[in-house]
Formats: sequence, structure tokens, C-alpha cells
Amino acid sequence: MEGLFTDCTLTCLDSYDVEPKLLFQWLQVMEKFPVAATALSIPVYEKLRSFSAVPASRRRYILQIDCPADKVAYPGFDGYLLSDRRFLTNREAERFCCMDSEDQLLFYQLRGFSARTGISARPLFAALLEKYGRKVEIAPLNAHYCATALAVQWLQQGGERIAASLAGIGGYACMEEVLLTWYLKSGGDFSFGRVALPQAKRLLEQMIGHPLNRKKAVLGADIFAVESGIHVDGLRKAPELYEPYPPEWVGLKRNIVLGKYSGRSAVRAKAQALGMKLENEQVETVIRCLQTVCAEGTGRLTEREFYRLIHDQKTVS
Amino acid sequence: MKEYAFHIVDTTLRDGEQSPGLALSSRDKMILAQRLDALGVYEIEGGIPAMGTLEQEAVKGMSLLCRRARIAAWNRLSLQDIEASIACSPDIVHISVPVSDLQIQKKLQKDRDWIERSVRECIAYARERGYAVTAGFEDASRADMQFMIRLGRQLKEQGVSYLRFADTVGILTPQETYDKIKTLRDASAMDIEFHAHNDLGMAVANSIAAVQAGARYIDTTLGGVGERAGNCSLAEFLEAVSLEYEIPFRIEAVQETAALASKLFGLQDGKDVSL
Repeated sequence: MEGLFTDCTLTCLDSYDVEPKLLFQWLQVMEKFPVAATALSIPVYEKLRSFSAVPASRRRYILQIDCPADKVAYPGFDGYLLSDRRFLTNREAERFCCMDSEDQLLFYQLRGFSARTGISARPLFAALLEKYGRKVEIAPLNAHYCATALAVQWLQQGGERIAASLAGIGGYACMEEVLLTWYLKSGGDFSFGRVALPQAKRLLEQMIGHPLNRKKAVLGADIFAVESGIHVDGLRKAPELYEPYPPEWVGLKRNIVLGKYSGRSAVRAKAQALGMKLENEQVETVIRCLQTVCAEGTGRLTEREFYRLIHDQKTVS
Repeated sequence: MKEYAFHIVDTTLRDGEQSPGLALSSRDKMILAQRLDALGVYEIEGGIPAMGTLEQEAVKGMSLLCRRARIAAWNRLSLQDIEASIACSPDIVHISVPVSDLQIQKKLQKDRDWIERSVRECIAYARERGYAVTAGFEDASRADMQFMIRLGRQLKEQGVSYLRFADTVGILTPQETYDKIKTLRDASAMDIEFHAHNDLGMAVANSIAAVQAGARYIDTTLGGVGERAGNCSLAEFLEAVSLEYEIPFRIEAVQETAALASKLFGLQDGKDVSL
């Protein structure tokens, strides 16, 4: 079974002052992602159009519209997403209809479910799958930090269509988390991520004007840093011991940070990574420094400080 | 007194601080421990005494300062580690037990028999000296269930208080969490503590699934700090779990404490790491 993913990042940027060129680049990068559709809002589409037409794509382009007349005003899309305001699923979600230009229904989108936490959505999702069959996409919202889990739960129950945004912008599920989970569980080839994820992340940061959190799952710059001795030691023996997936999958690298939790093997591994070989005595000096200096608040020993520590010691001895 | 579905085990001062680049002075650790105690956290994982005298002082200090919360000291599967912990008179001696074959073979270069023997020996050592012991199954999400059940029964016989199921690399989904916790709990008759990581962005949902499966202890950190993509954030967990369970916490007070932790850790913004 295949998940059909809709990227709705470009419906979440109306309040940002985004350069039109970046929107165009976004659509190009999305071409590398295993997504079936890209959704845009009207303001974003207007901005994009001032720069260029949408690039040709194997994906569907879907425009999120406010009234049926918008379909005429903005021709040429594969689908139009319009809220069906009369309809709420037990007040759990808002229903949208995705129609083509001939008014044929492509699928329904159900947006919400933020009062559900994962497996508590199981009976509801089962009922929805029964009612709508394959013609339903869910767009879980993240008000209670469970949107990714809801998307995964949906897929595990046999649902196919998911709408999500990169880094969960706009309050949706995080597309990168849902995709990675899906590939990890189904044993698929995630090799697109190596190049495409860092590119998409950089573009998103440019569009929203600030960097993502360095600890953000899948995307954060620091998620493959290690400090504790037990982990560094483990990683040297076999990286999969303390890594959920190889860092290369998402275009990142592992990196040893020296701090109060680093032991002797971490210090040696760091030295080796920097092309140095340390005497036992030097290792002990570094350990002492880590336990006192770092414990009093500075957190980590930078590479520069590490060099200096070793160098000063050489001069003395 | 009211009986709640779960207790909070906060590990900001151990697994949280283990996040690369984060460190607290002994004084700051004690300040945070007092705040966690005041919030109503059931257990505080205070640190790893085997690391050295600074850490030992911090753990000792916490035991003196905290009125309600139990202070736990973390140990590898080693008598020396446990001796260092006992010297700090913690309320709980926590012993970490690698349980996946990956960890047992590639990290420890031992086998399952060795694990069983060492667990028996280490627990007996702490129990004989009158300490409450909890055991932590490291990398439980990738371990053989039958082996964990066997170990769990052994823990039960030795009077271990509860068994931590650690999703060490953060790869579980809520459904998998639910199934594994339920199986282990039913078969071993041990009370379960669940320890999530946020690598796939599901730490909160997995922790709730664990409660639904009958886990009575949930591990969290302030602001979700922790290795890689972090641990389960206390405030986020409480906000979400309160949809389905009553919680003995004021979320605003938790957020204030998380903001203080973030300041003491020297993080620029007070934001949760998972945002």
C-alpha cells in the first residue's frame, strides 16, 4: 500500500513576506519528495504568479479556495479545495471537498482531530474509512502535539491520504516525521531525503525568516550530536545503537560534543575526529576540565577550547 | 487521597542534561529539583553518582531538599556504580539494563545469560542494603519480548518497584507502544514506567498510549530537553493527556518551571525544543 501525501506548506505562508522566487524553488524541491499533491493558498499563488507560472509536475496542484467562483478566476489546477461548512464529523474535524474543474469530487479532506491523541482515534478512523473508502484525506492538527501520531495511526489502519506541512508549520502534522516513520516501518527507500530534506528546510527557513529549532525531530541541526560517554562509546562500536536511522538519510552528520557527560572514550573519539592522538595524561586533563568547567555552567567545550587545552598542556610538559 | 492514572518521573536532571551542550551546576540542579518537587512530580531522576563528586553532591543535596519527590540515582549494570549511588542515600536506586540483542552484543559484547546474572547480582546488592530499586530496560523497543518478560518476572521476584520500558532511539508509534507495554505488563505483572524519545515526533502520543496500556509512571523532561530530538516534554504531555485523564498539575506552573530550566540551561529562547 502506498501513502498519498499532500504537502500543504504553501497554504500556511499567507502572513509571511515571502520572496516569489522562493515559492517557485519550493515547488521544484517538492518534485524530489514522495508527495502526490501540493496545495497552495490564493495569496501564495498570486505571489508566485508574479514571478513565474507553476513548474510542470507529475504531482497534482491543488488550490485552496474560499468560494466556488474562485475556480473560474483561477483555472488550470488539478483540484480545488473548498470548505464544506455545513459538515462537521462529530465536531472532530472540518470537512473540505477537493473537486476538479468539472466539479467532479476527487476526495474529501477532514481537518482537525486535535482532541485525539493517537490510538484513541482508532474507532473514529475505522468508521471514517468505512464511510468514505479511499476518497478521504485527513489533515490532523497539532494543538495537542499528537498530529504526527494521528497521521501515522491513520496510515497503520489502512488510510492512504494525509495532508501535512514541513516542520508542521500552520499547525499541521510534520510532513518529514510522517514520511520518515512511514518509510522506516514499511522498509522503503528514503534516499530522496539526503538532498531534498536539507534543501526544503533551508527554503522554509528563508520563507519564514528564522531558523528551525536545532533539536527539531528529523530536521534539527543538532539531533545527531552526542556527548555522553556511554553513547559515544556505543556509537563507535555500532552507530545504530543510539541512532533511530542513519543521519545521512536526512542529510545530517553525527558530531561529538564534549561536555560533562563525556568520558575518556568520547575525548579520544573527538581527538581522533580532529586528527589528534592523545596521551593518557592529556585525556585525564580534558576529563577534569569537563567535569569542573562545564559543570559550572558553560555547557560544552568548543573545538577551539579543546585545541587550546591540549596545546597549553604540551607547552607546559 | 485521589488516585491518578499515572505518576510523573522527571528526568530533566539526568537524561535531559545529557543532551549535548547542556550542563547545570550542582546549585542549579538543586534549584530545579526543588521546583519539580513543588510541582508535585513523583520521582526525580537526579543524576549519575558514578560520574564523580560534583554529581554526588548534587544528588545528596536533592535528597535533603526535596520533601515529597523521591530522588533516584541512575546506574549502569555495575556494582561500582551502585556503590557510588548508595553513598548518596537516594530514595531509589535505578539500574539500567540493556535488553536488545543489538545493545547486549555490540555494546557490551556479552550475551543474554550474562545480563540475567548481572541483573540478579546488582539488584540483590541494592535490595540487601535496604534500597528501593527500579530497573530500566534500555532499547526495549528493539528487544525480544520473551526475553523482557523473563527478566521482568525475575525483577518481580527480587522486589523491584517498577520496570522502565525505554524507547531509547524513539522509533515507536502509539499503536506499537500500546501493544508492547500491555504485553509486557500482563505477562510480567510488573508496574511499568515508560520513557519516550521524540525522534519521530511522537513522544507525547506514545506516552499517552503507554498510560492507556496501563503504564503507571511516565518519564518527562522540562521543555522536552534530551538527546537528539529530545524526550517527552512535561508540559506538552500534561496538556495532551488531560484530554483523557485527570492530572494533578497546574500546567501554567509547569510552563514557568520549564522556562526557568531553559534559562539555567542557557538556551536562548524559552521555547519547547519540539516546536
